[in-house]
Amino acid sequence: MIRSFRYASFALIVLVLISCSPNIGQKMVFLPPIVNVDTTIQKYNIQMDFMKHHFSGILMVRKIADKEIRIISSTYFGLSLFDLSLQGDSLKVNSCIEPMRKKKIVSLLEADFTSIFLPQNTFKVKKKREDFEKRTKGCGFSKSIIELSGFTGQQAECISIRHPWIRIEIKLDKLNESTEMNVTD
Amino acid sequence: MKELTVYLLMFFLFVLPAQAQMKKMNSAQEFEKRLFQEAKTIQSIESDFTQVKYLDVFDSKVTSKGKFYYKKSNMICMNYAHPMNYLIVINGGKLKIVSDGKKNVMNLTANKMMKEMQGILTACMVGDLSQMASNSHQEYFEDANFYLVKIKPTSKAVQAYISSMQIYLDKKEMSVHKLRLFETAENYTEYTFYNKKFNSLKDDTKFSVR
Repeated sequence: MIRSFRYASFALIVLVLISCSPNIGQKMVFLPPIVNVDTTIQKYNIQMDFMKHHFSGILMVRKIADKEIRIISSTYFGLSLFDLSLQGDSLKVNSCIEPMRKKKIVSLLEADFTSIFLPQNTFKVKKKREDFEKRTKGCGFSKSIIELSGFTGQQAECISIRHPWIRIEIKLDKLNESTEMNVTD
Repeated sequence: MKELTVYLLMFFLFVLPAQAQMKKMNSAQEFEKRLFQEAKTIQSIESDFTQVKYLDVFDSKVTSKGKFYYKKSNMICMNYAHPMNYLIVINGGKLKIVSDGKKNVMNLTANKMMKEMQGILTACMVGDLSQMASNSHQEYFEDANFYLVKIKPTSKAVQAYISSMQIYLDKKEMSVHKLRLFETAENYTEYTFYNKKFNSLKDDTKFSVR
């Protein structure tokens, strides 16, 4: 009985170590930004699922200075959710609604938006087809899975970032001329 | 030719701004009385709406369109058709949002701030200003076609989301023509209501929050 318990414990430890060890088969490589941000406004339908909660709205992103990317989101009803500046690889909160004004949420948004709008060398490409790409980073609670689809050239128009252990998912779907009613600069 | 140019310049500089200006209302009591009387006759409103969100940081605006429904008492449905399908229903103490096939129902009664916001938004969209008398500061203006009510909420919790509101009421039918919700002095969302039908809704199916 004791021996089988020892074997079970040993197997469990090995399993944990293997699951968190770097995967030699898939190397971390330099990856260009998922979304190339320039001085024109790019608009996305954003959906955030946090545990049982679901938020949705419009996300707008634009480069406003040499090293600043401005990210603004509002509900469909028009009220602002957040206004953030990505300066270098750090996130500055210009304004944010009270329920999102928490250090952990801001850190998560910083990590996710950095993964989308800046070049990366911490992700591994797990699957790559012409119309689909899957990238992963970290393990356990820090695990992030990015899925890209709807490619137009090199740019994915559907982006999903999941943190499976903490049950958070952010989805971005690009709003193009055909889906957009009227967005004017 | 030179005279014509000067005339046109004078017209655009002085005549147009003067037309757009609203003057302070002489008798707010008379206006409130008329609004109260008209509100009593309205059981439901059905209209199209255009929503424009102005963003000063990007110097841009985002336009959405949809259908607006109101039924006494305090039932509101906003069915967005562009840029995407989206549904907001407020009924009693509940708020339902449907986006991308996902339904989210929230109980507003448990959250004092959300309940207050619901009251203000409902009152603004249907022009029932009596609901806001106790928790806001109101100023009244008018021109030939519209009444304008400028409202500043006094609640700090509401001010965190909405700094002020402007409601334009059509003088003919005393219904809301335009509503502006200001988050800051530069950032606001404007809703324009048109193709209005009054007392046309027969049941509450549009306002289901299940």
